[in-house]
Amino acid sequence: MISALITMAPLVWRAIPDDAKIGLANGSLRLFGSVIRRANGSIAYHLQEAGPLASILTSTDIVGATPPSLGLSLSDKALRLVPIAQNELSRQRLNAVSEDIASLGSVTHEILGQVTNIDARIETLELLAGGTLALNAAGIGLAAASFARVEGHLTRIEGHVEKLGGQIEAVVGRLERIEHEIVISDLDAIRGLAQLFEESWALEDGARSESARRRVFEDGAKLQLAARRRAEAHLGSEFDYALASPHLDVFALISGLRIAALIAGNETTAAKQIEAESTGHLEAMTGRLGLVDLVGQAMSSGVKVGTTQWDHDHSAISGLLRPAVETMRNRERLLATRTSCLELLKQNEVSPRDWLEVARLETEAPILVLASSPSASRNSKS
Amino acid sequence: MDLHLLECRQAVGAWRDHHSLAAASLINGASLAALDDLDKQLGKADLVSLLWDPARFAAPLADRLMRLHCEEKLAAAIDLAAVDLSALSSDYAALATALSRSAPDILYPVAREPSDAELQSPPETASAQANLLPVKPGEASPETPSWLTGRIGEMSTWAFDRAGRAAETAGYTIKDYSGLHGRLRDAFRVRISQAWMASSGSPRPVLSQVLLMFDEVTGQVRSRI
Repeated sequence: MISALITMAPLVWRAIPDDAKIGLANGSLRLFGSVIRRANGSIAYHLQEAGPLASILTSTDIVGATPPSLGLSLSDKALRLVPIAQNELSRQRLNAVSEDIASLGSVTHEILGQVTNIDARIETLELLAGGTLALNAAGIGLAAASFARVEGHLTRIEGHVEKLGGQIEAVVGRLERIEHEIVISDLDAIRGLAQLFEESWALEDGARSESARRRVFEDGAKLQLAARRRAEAHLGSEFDYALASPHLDVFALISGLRIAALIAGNETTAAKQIEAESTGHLEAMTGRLGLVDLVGQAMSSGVKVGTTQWDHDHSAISGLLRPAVETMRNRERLLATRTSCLELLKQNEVSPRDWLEVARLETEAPILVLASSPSASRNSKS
Repeated sequence: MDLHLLECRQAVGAWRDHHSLAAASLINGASLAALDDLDKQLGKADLVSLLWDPARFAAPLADRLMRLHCEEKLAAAIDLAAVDLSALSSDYAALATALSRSAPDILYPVAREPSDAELQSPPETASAQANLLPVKPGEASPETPSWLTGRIGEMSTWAFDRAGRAAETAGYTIKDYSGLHGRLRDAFRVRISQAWMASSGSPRPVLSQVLLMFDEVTGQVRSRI
């Protein structure tokens, strides 16, 4: 691992380099999942979540378990609006919700400001999350997949599922309750696998460590399939994206965990294969969905056409659901860029496992930035 | 993973979102303009006679006014969508051209206009409904595209019900000018929402046809990359 540090030192940043900040601001660079790309599509930087990220994102200083900088609250809020919008969405109601969201945004901004004062390291996260919601439930980069990070994701997903459970209790029967309990049980199983993966790093016996990772990979397959089937069920004829969303998050999460388990064992070919398969499945589920589909669902009843009210609601609902669509696109991008830096590591003769360990043991930076070439790095550092 | 392909697919998805939502807004805007025109025409004396049976006249009037306010703008919107598609990648030039050329293929609903004789004979009783509704389910005027037959059938059935109510309440609705206006406007809106702005239906409403065009293009792009 020390050799990895030495080899990678010229390429590694512990904050977003100035060149990248300028490029992101002027559009010559753009964030795409966990990589920063140039206008010609080539990758300039890779982002790697590091050890401190978990503690920052789960810090009680930042509004409980939901990281405000990630925009998740906004998208979740927008999703909750769908059923509201279906029920005779009135201007007053919509305005009230809009104000609610606006105030949520200002609170977020305020909290971010406080956090920035507390810890300058958050600047990196702000920059990434501010415009593009780079970080979401799928995690980023070669996920260090620490238990704390997975736990944070699961807590949020569970919160969503619990809410749905409350609705289920009120309106549906025994079968749906059983299904709901199975979902909760699966989330616990994912939590168990995340814990096992975390522990695998501490095992000195290589064979036992390998066995633990293999179990994460293999047992995760079943959970991944279950999450996919549940999401597909809600994206089919009885389309309801709000119900599908937590299952899509679970799918992305368990996919990331499986890929991380492979990377930790230096199984790069298999990791790329699982990344491609998982991204393919995710894209098959959500790639064809867009804002027009969610807005169409929300506008399906109530408001009279040929009125300014329709225009108002159409525009307001589009605005409210836009973050949910951005989250959807980011989920696809993040899953597709899980293994993107493996080639760079190979070129520099650094094993993926060593690089993951560097990231896990990082104590300062929440995200490590890996320049694709020393020249890019030098330009920024000079 | 080929990130370029994913980016292309996402870009065309965003293109679909943008132009689909814009088309919906455009048609709603046209319906606002059509309703304005309707209000102006309501002031004309000869139209007042039509208010004996608002529903019977709403559909053809709505179709005529909507087409007036929609057709050119929709063609321009589709052209703009084609230009934007080309701008995404030169690979999509052929698709963009096809899209642009498809604007004239949109089938606009044309409900049958009532005849002069019908205009002169307002309904007297509910039992006279059959005579007052010459458009029977499944029939279409010669000018009507065949795909509209079903829709006209629906509309005439719907008009049948409305006519019954119109006849029964004629005694007081004739005195309630604003009430008649409201009913005509409601019938007008129903026609627009069903034949113009619905996202699905058979025959396909205008918005649904436009959305289908964008969906087809998006599907083609996605299947090629």
